[in-house]
Amino acid sequence: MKCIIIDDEKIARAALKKLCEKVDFLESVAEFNNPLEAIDFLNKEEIDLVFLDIHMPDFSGFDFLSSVKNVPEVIITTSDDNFGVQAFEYDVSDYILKPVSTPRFIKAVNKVRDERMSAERNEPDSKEKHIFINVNSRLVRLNYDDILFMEARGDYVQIQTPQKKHLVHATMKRFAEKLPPNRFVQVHRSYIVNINKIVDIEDNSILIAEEIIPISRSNKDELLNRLNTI
Amino acid sequence: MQILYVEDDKFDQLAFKRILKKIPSISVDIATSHHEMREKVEVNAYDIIIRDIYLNGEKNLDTPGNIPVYFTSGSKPVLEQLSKKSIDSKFLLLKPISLQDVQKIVTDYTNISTEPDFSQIDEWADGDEHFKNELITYYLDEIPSQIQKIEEVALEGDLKKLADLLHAVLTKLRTFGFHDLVNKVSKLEYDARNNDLAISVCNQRLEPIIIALHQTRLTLRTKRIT
Repeated sequence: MKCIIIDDEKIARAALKKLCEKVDFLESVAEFNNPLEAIDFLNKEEIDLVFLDIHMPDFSGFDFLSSVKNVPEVIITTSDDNFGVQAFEYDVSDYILKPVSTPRFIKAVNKVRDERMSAERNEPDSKEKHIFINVNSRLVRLNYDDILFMEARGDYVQIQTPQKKHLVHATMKRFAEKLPPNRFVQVHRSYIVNINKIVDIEDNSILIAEEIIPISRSNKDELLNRLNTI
Repeated sequence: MQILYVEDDKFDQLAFKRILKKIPSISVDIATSHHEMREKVEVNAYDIIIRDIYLNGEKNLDTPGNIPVYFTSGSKPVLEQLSKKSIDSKFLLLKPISLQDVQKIVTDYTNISTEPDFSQIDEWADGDEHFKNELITYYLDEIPSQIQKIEEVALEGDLKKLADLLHAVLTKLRTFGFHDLVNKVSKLEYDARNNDLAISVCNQRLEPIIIALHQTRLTLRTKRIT
């Protein structure tokens, strides 16, 4: 698991780095004394786990958790035992008091690893990068990265890729269930879009490639929640 | 903490002042005679007197008021003799006075031990002395500015800020196993945050803590492996 450390204290960062070295499945890839720099990093890199301090000048650990969308697993490391309840409201994996002992650290990271493994077992498709669709009695593989959006067409769904359109006999509901929710979002009764392909959003419409896609009022909040916005 | 150092030898005065520079929160005043000592004690509130037994060739054991007095001499037999005359040996210092002597006096005054317990760091380090040194270096780099901030905020009388700053220093102290200091800092942090603490009382409790924090620096410097 790739992890980063966010703590304004050098001693705490050095200790956590040392602890990461003791665990063979952990790789500490970066450390930050400022959560804002970590946000930039997370927007560019894929990280599995964040060790996060709470009390930091200017921008606290909770400010960080409120600002980051699609936040990785988080283990809070703090010297303050007063924020446990608040921390778990952010769905953090664990809350450890500093200085962090080796056994407590190992327990926390093992828990994260076990939960991730269990989630992967229960959702075998979550790591898949493609879907097979039935086109004229042929199963055709479509990479998620190639899909721009899907549009309901009566009893069919039309899948738009940069190269061509595929017409599949299926329902939007079926696609919404099958596609990974971190990549696709339903923005309208008749449209599911690939979040990574959105060029811009204006009022109640999305631009993907050169197509304008409507956003229904009821889906707009969900869409905005899923986007990494500042 | 204010110390009156009574010494007629200029070399010893200089050496003592030099040692005291290493503990910034302690101020030192010098008297060169018994008469001057008396005069100074009347107008200043000293916490400790450290005085030479022989001043200008005359032996004098006068101890003004209720101030703790430490006696110094360059002669071991003289000190041993005094020890027999029911003066507690902890109040007898053989010259030249060392930094360790001063640290001991300061620890007696603050009543806060600054001896570190490295068990947590050793657990992390697994024998990696370089890592241990690295942590000590970070401590030595960071603690002076934290002490300075605490002093500034205490002067402003902002108890909430003071509690936050004390809290920030606690993790470091726990890491290095300054248990006695952790205890004192935690209690003051709690009272500053939750109780209606008078700022004068707070500053009174803060003074030995600040001195002890400076002492931790001196202690850790000697623990670094070069």
